[in-house]
Amino acid sequence: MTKTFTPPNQKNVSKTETNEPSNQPDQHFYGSIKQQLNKLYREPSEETITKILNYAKKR
Amino acid sequence: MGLIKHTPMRLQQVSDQDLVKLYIGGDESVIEELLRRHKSKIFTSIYLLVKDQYLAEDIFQDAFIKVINTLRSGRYNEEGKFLPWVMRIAHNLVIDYFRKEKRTPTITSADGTDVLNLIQVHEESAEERMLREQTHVDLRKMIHHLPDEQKEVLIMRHYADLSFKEIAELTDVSINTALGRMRYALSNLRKMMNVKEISVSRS
Repeated sequence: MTKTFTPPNQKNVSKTETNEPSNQPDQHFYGSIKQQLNKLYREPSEETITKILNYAKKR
Repeated sequence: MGLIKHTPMRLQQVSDQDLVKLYIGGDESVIEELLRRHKSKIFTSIYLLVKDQYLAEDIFQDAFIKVINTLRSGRYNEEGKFLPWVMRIAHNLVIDYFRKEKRTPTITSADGTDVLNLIQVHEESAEERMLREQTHVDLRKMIHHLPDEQKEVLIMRHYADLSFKEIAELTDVSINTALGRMRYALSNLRKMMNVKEISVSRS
């Protein structure tokens, strides 16, 4: 009877615990565009922040 | 000068959970620190979903008012993390907005295969043509043209810094589905960049 062999490092590995896409080309691509993606960060206006802070202080 | 730049050092070392407890306990000033920590992540995520600065401001404000009201009412679940919780509130407000306006955020496509046909949306003005020269403008447009599910995961993963587990919970899908959507999003972005001949190293 033929037995299948599973390498030890592949045992008990839950794919659901992965926190990053496993596809290597996409992963590499993601790493290469992170800087560009970061340039799209925006801030809310100070007016909006002030309104929130004022609201937070009203009890 | 920024309104929330001068947070006392001691608050910067306090966890989100402890800041929340301080607020519930009556220290209103800690909201400033929570905003300082998370405003960019939350605001950028909202903005990229709604594509409008003023609308994003309104939704951001409404989200934090809901946060404050929930904390005051004692309904906050301490088991949850603060950022994913606020993102869930913001996400729901975005969905409510689109439902109310009976608008579709962008183009939906089950597998993303038709995305390349959807890049041209309207005639560009001279100003838009100039802006288009900038890679970050192109990139933003490309993100906007991703199918909604893919865009959502990309934004929540990259900008809101949520884990795939948190994204899966927030969007009510399995972790593998969230991971798959991220892969499709990256794959489609890469295709769109190839079509536009944008180098990823261009700044």
